[in-house]
Amino acid sequence: MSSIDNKSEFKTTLFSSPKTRREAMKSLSTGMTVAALSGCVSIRKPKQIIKTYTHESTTTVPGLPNYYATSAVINNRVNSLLATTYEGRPTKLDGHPDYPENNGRSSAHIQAEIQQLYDPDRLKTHTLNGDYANVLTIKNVLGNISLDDSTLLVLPNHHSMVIESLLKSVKKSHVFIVDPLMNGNQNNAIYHFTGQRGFLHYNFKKTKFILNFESDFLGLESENIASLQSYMTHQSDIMHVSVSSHLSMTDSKADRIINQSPSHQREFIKALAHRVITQYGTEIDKAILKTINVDTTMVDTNQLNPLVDSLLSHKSAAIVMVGAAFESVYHALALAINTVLKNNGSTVHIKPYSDSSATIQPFNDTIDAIRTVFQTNRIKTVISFGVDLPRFMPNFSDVVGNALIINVCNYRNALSAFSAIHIAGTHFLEEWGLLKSDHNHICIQQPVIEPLYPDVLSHADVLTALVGSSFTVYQQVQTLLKSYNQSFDQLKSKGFIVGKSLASLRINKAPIAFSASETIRNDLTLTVSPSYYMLDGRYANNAWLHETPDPITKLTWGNAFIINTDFAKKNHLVTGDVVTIDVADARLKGPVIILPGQNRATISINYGYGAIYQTTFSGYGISTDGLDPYGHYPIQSVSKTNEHVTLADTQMNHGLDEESLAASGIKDRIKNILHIKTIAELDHAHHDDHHIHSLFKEQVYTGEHQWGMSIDLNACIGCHTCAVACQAENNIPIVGKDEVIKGREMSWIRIDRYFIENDHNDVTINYMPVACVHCENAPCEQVCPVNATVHDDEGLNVMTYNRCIGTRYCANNCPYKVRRFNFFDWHQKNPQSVEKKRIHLFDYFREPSAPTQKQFNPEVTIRMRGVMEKCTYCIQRISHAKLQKKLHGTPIDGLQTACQQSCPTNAIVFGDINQKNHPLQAARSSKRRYDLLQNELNTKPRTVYLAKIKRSVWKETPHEHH
Amino acid sequence: MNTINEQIHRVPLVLGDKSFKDVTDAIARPAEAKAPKWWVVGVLFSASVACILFAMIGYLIWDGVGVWGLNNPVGWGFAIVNFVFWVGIGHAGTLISAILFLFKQKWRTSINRFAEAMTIFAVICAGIFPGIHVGRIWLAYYLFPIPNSMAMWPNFKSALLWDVFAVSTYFTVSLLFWYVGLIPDLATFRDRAKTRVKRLAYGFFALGWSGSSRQWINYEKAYLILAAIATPLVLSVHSIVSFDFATSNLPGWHTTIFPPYFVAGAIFSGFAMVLTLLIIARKIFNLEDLVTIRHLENMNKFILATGTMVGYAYAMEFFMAWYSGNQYEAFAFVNRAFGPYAWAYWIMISCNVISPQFFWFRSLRTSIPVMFIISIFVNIGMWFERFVITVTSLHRDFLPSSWDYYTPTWVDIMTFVGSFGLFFSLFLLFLKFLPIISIAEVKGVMAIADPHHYESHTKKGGQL
Amino acid sequence: MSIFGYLCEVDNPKDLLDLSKKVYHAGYIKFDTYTPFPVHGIDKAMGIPLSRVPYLSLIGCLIGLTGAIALQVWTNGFDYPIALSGKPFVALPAFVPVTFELTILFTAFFTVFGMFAINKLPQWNQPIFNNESIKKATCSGFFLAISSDDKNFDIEKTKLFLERSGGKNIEAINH
Repeated sequence: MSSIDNKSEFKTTLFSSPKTRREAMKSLSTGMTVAALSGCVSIRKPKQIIKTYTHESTTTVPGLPNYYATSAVINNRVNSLLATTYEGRPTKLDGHPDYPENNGRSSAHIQAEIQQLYDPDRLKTHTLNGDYANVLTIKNVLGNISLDDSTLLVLPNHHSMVIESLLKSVKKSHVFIVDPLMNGNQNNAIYHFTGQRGFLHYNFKKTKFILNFESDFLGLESENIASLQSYMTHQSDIMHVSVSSHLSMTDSKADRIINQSPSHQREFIKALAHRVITQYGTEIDKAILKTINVDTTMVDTNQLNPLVDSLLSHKSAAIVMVGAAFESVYHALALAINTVLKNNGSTVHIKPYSDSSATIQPFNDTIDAIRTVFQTNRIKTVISFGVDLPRFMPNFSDVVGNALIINVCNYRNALSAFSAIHIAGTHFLEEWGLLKSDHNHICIQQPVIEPLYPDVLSHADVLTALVGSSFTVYQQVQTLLKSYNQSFDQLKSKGFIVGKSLASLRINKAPIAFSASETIRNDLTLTVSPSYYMLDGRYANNAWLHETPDPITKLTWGNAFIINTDFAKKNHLVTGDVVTIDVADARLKGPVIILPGQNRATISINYGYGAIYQTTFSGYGISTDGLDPYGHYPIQSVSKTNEHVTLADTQMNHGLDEESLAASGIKDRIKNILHIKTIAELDHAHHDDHHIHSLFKEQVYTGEHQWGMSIDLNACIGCHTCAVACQAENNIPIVGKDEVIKGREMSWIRIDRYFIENDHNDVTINYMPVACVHCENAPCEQVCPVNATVHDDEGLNVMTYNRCIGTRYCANNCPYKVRRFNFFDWHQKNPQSVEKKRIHLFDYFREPSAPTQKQFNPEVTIRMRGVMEKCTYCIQRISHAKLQKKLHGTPIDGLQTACQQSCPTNAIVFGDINQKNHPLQAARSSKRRYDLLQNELNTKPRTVYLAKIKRSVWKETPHEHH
Repeated sequence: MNTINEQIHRVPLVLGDKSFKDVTDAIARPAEAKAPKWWVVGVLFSASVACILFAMIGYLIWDGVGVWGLNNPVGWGFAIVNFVFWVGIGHAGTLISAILFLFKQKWRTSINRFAEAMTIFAVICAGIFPGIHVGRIWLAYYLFPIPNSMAMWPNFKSALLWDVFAVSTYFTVSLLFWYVGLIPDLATFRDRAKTRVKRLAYGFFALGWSGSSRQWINYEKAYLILAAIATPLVLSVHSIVSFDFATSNLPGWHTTIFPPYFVAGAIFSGFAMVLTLLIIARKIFNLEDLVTIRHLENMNKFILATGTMVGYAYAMEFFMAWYSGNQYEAFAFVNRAFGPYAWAYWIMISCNVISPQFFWFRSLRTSIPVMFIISIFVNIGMWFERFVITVTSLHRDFLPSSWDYYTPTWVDIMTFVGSFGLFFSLFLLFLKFLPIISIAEVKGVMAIADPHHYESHTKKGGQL
Repeated sequence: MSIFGYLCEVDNPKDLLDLSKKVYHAGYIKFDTYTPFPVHGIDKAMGIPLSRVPYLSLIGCLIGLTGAIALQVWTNGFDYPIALSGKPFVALPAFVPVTFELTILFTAFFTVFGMFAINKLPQWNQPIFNNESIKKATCSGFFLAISSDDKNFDIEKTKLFLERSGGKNIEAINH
């Protein structure tokens, strides 16, 4: 329990923990001291000071945001973050602009974390055998647990330095780190070669050729956000071939996708290793081949030969990657190939984990080890720090016996059924901590809000009580910092300390032998990979992420079995038909979705759905619990049921049936929409100026600034971070599954996904983010009868919400279909909304719950029902920047829209098109630039697109290779 | 239509050897007699259906436009379809009255009152839909140029605003036209009234009309002028309704053929609806002598002509879609005929283009059952025409990513059904309480009304 | 004068025309005929001048036309010009429909209410209604009434004149 103070005249803003914005304003105006005193009558809280981010002013001005540096483990990577707070309420999270692992950029999860904080479903109090237990009781119980080998601790990750130091006093107990998102097979392969646990770091600067077997290195398996940026920077020099059984975000950037089933890929990797290593490897290298048998009948040499050529001609400048679902032996083979080709040390670096205190084992090995511990020891107490063990251990009740289970969690989960004690956890924005990233950077975790519920305890708090330490976490952080020669205050302002990069591990021995690899000939394989947004299910109660469409399937609120078109035809399946699928240990039941690019012999499913928590939004989709988050399973049988469901996709999958009318409609126009060009075509394109004349004299916009945007389709990976950032910034409501099915999703920016099919086995996936393009001749404006959507002199197409009567004519006439209509009062319809206490005549009867209300960005109007809304180019930020310029002469350069600020690949550039030297100028004068639908409609959009480049990897004529 | 023609000459407009009083009696009878059972049942039934409409509107306002099936690409659905449908029906009345009046088509007299009433009620039904389809009904007054605290004015470049002016002008002028026509007949009812309440009620609306010739002179002039301005108004209203679509940039909406095509369609549907109602009414009220087969046949010829025009427009749209070479336009029309809404398209084609072709045959166009069935088909077909135009164009426009399918909800359907309840409620009230045929005008076209008639006492009955 | 005038009836439109001609030629001016429908030629027979309604219609037409243009040009072009779809503030082609509609609307109002004004409607209580028989005028009767205000009116002579001219059922209209 700690009180947080800001060194400012509004010292106690955070202290009193206003529950609503209105309350916050009220307390500000009526004097904070009184409120502060009344807030802590019983417990005198020690003063713990947080500091604003260096570059910003240090005083709190009502109505102006403060920025605080903090950090968190998100998607099991450490990110230094910047929290935007208004009067003590964090409203938005972004990457820390200087932090080398994200460079200020973020992911959809970072953006959605703010929703996790204010989630009204969070556990608020602790329980002991189902009854309320206060903090003292809980601490007493924890203090009395004997830390011997009858105690088992399960932690979600290895990054907290506070926990690492506390664990030093828990030597005798069993401590495990359960990380379902870890690429465990790669970890194992590295361990076999080097004897150390680690991960791979790719240097794209030196890379010229990538041969990728289903590694989603631009998506789930990315090392960090900075690695995406690095790839994009060097993308034009990298030839990228993806071998894939199901499409991934990474495949959208591949120059060629080779469609192969997982079984074929295994033989392909082996054949490749044989070719490369026997020819160029040393005797030590060849040792690995001893146990490797290739079934050459499964390898298409026409595909293999040119790839071998390319790898050989890019020695020390190529990467062979293998996806996390492949067994360790394939990772080892890839490592061996990379070593033989001298890529290792140049483009590929093996990095050890920075934390050596815990054994960072792969997920599966960890689960097995926990099982063993239960078998070999009499475990009396299990303390789980947010790890939902029963989901990973199917017969958990048999395993666990009658041990006391203490469940430190934010929601009731599967473990709850077994646990006698529930400890309500904090959100990271409420806790102190110190995190160390895999690249050895040290990040401060400072709370930017007083815990919403006074009882909650962080993992570090619980461990502190467990080991009986008398120091608060706040003090422990200070103590830990002493060895780093960094002032606490400085760190709080700056956010992180750049660590010294750990030396790469070297391979100088043959790997520990792998068991002989049998050829697997699956007729049909089920591939499992974590959902892009639910991950392992940890975000199962996050409505924003539920409603973010999957980049591949465009499904929201659930997952489905992705099947191939031919497979569907053969089995008379259509999208939405429910099937049951039997694999070795499990029977799964759920709807199918037919997608191009899916391998004929592969069915794919996303992990992390089903009833993960006992909360409002959890329970959507097909549960895959019991299967590996990353895994390939032979399918024993697929059977169709009589059930059919409607899937909540945001983009109908029309392109599926070759003969369908829609498919022809899409095929015809995709050329116009995407403008995919080869470099030669761009170079030789005569400057085709389409001068389309209006019948009238067009308006000339005379404002000082003229806003514009460019979106680089070469860089877009379809991750939807922009969409979630926009949702957080602009208070965009969620609508729920049924309304998505009706087609009423509210996202202001949507990521259009287009498949280009040459045939079912030769498909590319392309992304195109579309938000309001702010047409100079905006078709929406002329049709509005009440002048609710108009143009300003800076070229913005602005919405006047309080003028709008909701005819929806503008949406009909918008050729980009980017306008969103509030069919209902979505905030009232949200199942988490609460009944209003006071009702007067024109009030509705529900309102967002008290914590949800605090999340809203006060700079942006909450739209009522019946009103049209759309992207405004973050006009609140524009106004703020213009005001700052006027008041303080601050240059307007730093202005970013929320989507641009969050985009991990820098695909979006926003700025003043009149401003010389702005990066926007380069984009606007690029050969790749095109204006969507300009030639058709003369809309003169202010958002321009940079076309994706089409490159041919090799000539199709097969040639014999000896 | 009404050329010197032996055929026509032989058929008088008012059959039977009727005096002026006979005509008055015939027309006033329903209003004076005790309400028949079928009428009471009919009114109760349609009033209950009308209540559904108001219940649906209440629910809509309470909960939001989301109770309808609309979604992101399809911003307009049943409400706008119903609006255009009802406005279209509302065209026949004023058209029959005004245009036929100007062309001195005397056969109009026995159907014009009826048709005008239908216009008024159809426009009332039509007017409800754009009113309720907006997201914030309570702010719909922003549509009018009322000085306000925002200092803003409506946007006169918006076709929707033109529509507001067109429909409200049309309703107002149609109402005036109808009412002016009613004044002498209301005076007739007043003078025949048996009860004080009736005398006062009819008397109030008769404004003290005495049948004075000095008033008749001004009255006739005013009526002529109203007819003269109502004629271009009728043509303008559906043109402007079509501008809602034609001035947008949506493939399938953005076509220059829309104004004449919509006007033809409106006349088509309007005549069909008048026909449907008239066939029933003349049977019930024994008005076969006043509304003769010849009247009905003439209307069928109109239906045949306008139906063929509409068919031509459909064909021309397809031709232009192909001829323009615009892939978006071409796809929009192919999608209409063969896409997910093909069922609606083919209902439209069979009802609107094929069914009126039977009227080429005289035997069919003078057969009451045949024309009744065809008139119903045309009503259905014209509703689907509006559905096809509105929904199929919206559901697949430029960027395939936003394509979606629109399904109406039960609220959509019940609102539409309810609008028929309102229409028939009003219509039944009209049938009971007002002269359903213009008494003064019918008398005016009778042979005995012509002073010359008394110079040569050879013929009886009215004639052209 | 104690009575309002005389009311007499004839059988058919032709007789009414004849009677009206006689009354008019006898120099009566303040007289009127009452018919269930406008009788063709009655205006000439009675010497009624052309209706003034069209002039009012024209005024309404001009007010509607100029008012509509003025309203649109002023509001959209000058009072609060707003940039929309890159179009000029004053876009005359776009103003045509509303101008047309308002022209029609004002013409209709002036025509109808002008007609009412000229005909002095509404006038629910008129001396002519004091006679029960006039009720037939809205059904099948053809009547002629001469007002006692006419300078040629004479209680005896006028009655005699009507009888001789073919008027039937001559009654005095009371005030």
